[in-house]
Amino acid sequence: MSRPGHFKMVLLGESAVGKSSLALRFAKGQYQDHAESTIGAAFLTHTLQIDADTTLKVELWDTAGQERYHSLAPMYYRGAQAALVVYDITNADSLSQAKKWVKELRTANGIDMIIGLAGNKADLATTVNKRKVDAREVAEYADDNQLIFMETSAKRGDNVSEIFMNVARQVAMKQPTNTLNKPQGAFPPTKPKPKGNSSCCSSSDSKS
Amino acid sequence: MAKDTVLFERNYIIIKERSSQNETRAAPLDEITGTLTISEHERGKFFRFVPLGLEDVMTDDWALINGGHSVVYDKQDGDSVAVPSSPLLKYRLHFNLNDLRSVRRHHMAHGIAHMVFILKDGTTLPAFYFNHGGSKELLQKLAQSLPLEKSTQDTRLYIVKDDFPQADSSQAISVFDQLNLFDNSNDSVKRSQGNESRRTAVKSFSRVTHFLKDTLLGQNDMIPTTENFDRKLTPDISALIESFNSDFRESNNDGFEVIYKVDFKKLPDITRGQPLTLKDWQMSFDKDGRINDVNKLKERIFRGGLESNSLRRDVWRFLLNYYPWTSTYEERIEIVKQRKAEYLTMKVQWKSINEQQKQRNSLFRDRGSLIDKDVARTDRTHDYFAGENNVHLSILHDILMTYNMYNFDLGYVQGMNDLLSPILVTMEDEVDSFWCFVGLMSRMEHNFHLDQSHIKNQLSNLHTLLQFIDAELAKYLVENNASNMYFFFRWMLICFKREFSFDDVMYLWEVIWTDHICHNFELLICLSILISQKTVIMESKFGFTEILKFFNDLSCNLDLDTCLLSAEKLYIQISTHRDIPTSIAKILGLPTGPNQRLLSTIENATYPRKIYTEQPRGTMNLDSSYFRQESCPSLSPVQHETREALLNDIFTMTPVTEF
Repeated sequence: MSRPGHFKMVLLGESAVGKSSLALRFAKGQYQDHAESTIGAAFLTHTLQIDADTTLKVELWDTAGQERYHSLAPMYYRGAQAALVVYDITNADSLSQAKKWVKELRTANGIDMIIGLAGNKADLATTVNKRKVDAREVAEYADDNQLIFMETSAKRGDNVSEIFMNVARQVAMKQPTNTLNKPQGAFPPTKPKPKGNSSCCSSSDSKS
Repeated sequence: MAKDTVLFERNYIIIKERSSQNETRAAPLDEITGTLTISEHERGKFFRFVPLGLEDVMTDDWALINGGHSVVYDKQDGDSVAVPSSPLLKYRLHFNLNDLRSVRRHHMAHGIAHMVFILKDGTTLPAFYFNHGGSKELLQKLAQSLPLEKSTQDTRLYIVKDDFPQADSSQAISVFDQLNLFDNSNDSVKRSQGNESRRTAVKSFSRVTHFLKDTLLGQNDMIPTTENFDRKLTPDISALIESFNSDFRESNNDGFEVIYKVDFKKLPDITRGQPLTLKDWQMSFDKDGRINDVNKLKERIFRGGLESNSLRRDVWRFLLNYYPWTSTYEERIEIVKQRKAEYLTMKVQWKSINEQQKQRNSLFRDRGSLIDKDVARTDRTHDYFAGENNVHLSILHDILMTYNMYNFDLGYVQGMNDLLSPILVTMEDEVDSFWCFVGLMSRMEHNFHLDQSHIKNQLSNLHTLLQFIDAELAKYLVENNASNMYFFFRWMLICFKREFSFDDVMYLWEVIWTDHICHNFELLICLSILISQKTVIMESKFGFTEILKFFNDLSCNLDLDTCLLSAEKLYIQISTHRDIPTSIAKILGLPTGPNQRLLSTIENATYPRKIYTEQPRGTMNLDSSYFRQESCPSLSPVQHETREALLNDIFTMTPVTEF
């Protein structure tokens, strides 16, 4: 019996940075304004086509962000192969919190864990000039800590599937090939994402 | 790309759902008509449902239930275009057949069938109604593609046996035989009562599924337990559980007899009552404004809730301890005056903190920022809080900020906004809402304490109760690393606020606030829902993750009256037990000691009770809902001449020595 490769991934970050919105955009291609806060945890799955003959099923745990519920987080990140730590580019405190999460994850799960860092709400940087976090500095931090960094917008869809895809590719590279499998997942085939204004770490539009 | 081959296609398939969380209980369900297809494609076989009119809309991905606005990518220029005007988009559903775990096919009066699909990750799709037939054909098509087998425990349920993408032909044939056999079976018991409107029947069927006539007593030959499809998740989850479980689950070692399965058919027939009316309420007071018979009033509210929001505005003040039950008109006028002044004092305290002070007070600043974030996303789909710059949001904000001053040690914790929202919608007054919220928080605040100890206790209590009333399911959860019951965290934390429609939440809360039959009635509600889904959970071999997703998806698809009735039946089962274990009695606040409770319960003929002769509240009549389908005659009091006879019938006990 064979099944597609799969891995467990956890979303972490301060309250209201857009964790659930990234998950919803990623798994269902939807966005909702003023979506309610996450209580407890939500669980989603989504299958990604990594390349012509590899699919990977992402088992995504979406967690509550408030500090009060921090003590429950190990339940979710324990045993996870990947994490996406999220901050809000309009909120400098949320970056500090994200760095704490990265530290905690590295301590608990070691260097093998694939960690993505998403600077979310990138749409606000261009439509309304609200940026409080400079992407170049974060890119440097990400580089030092071996994080996959992108600025994302769950609202517009920019870089959302890209960051998940990059994380998944790295997970796939670390997983033994025999746990991966032939394509059987996504349908209809994922269309290419529209080019957004925000971008990856190396881009020049990071300056506000 | 290879062309799709259509294996099955049927038009005019209908989904019936509430369009949003805030619709009233009486509102008709929305009907979404569309086309259901099974097609084969180079990547596999796919199920899809497309609502009428959306056939040509392309999105970057297909929706899988829930969700709000979709964003549609225009094929030409690749720009994203928000399409808030098409709420139907979320009913475009698709999945790979390999993700299917089970199908349940129901027949109703008039020969209309509906089918419920549950995926391997626990996702539950809305029920599809086949008004023009075709469900059998669909089942046959599925059986050709998948190793589908009929459950031995529930003749309507078909389980996908394993993870093989394709069944071989011999398997398919054997399933065909089963299908044919099955099709002729017990149609008569599935019929609803003739005098019931179809809408009622449809409504009740489309909600939470079924209690089962029998639960699994023996080992199921068809689905060997060794073939645990979710092994893949087990190692992760067991670590997860371990971290949560350490202080959990005191063992079931006080030597009591446990009930191996709940047998609802043998429990007395009970009904819900009519809601309390304004007239009833006005007649409850004496000349000074004292309530004559508080217990009677509470019982009435417990059985049927309150008639309207304007009545709630009065009664909730008592239920939430803003007004003492024994107070007079005059005393209440005085209370309102005092409380208003107190509120304003506290509000001024935080309002007068200036920017410089804030700069030096990170605690205050952080809490304010949390409140800001959460207020902006509290029930924004409800009319009362919809739209930008909604004034009700600032009232919500001010009440939460003032509560922070009132109870600074606790402060603000996520979830409190959910608890306040229905109160504000009901009271429509800042000061009154605040004091009612204070009353509610005095019931609930331990849920929000930093160490989470109370929530953990409650979840642990859930398991203790389950061990007593359905040891088999309790054992299953232990074996599948789900015994921490953490999938009920949200239900407990905010008292089902996200699990029912807004109006239902108000009704449910006032029922719970009466504390009428016992403490912790909410635990019995959780358990009644859990037990109602027992067969689906056990036969699908759901582990912790799938159960969590499954219950999250049940949100707003549960029929509240049915849940309340079942919860009360569980209460009857427990409270009339010959020898209630101390641990159980403590959780529910019942007296302990052999037979005490039993004696008074049965001799006073508390159960079964049919207090109200009018049609019970709600559209769901227990007799015509899922209990009746099983064709089990309800136990009526006249059938039992002695207490012993009743007792013998109530309990189906099998001692279970250990877990």
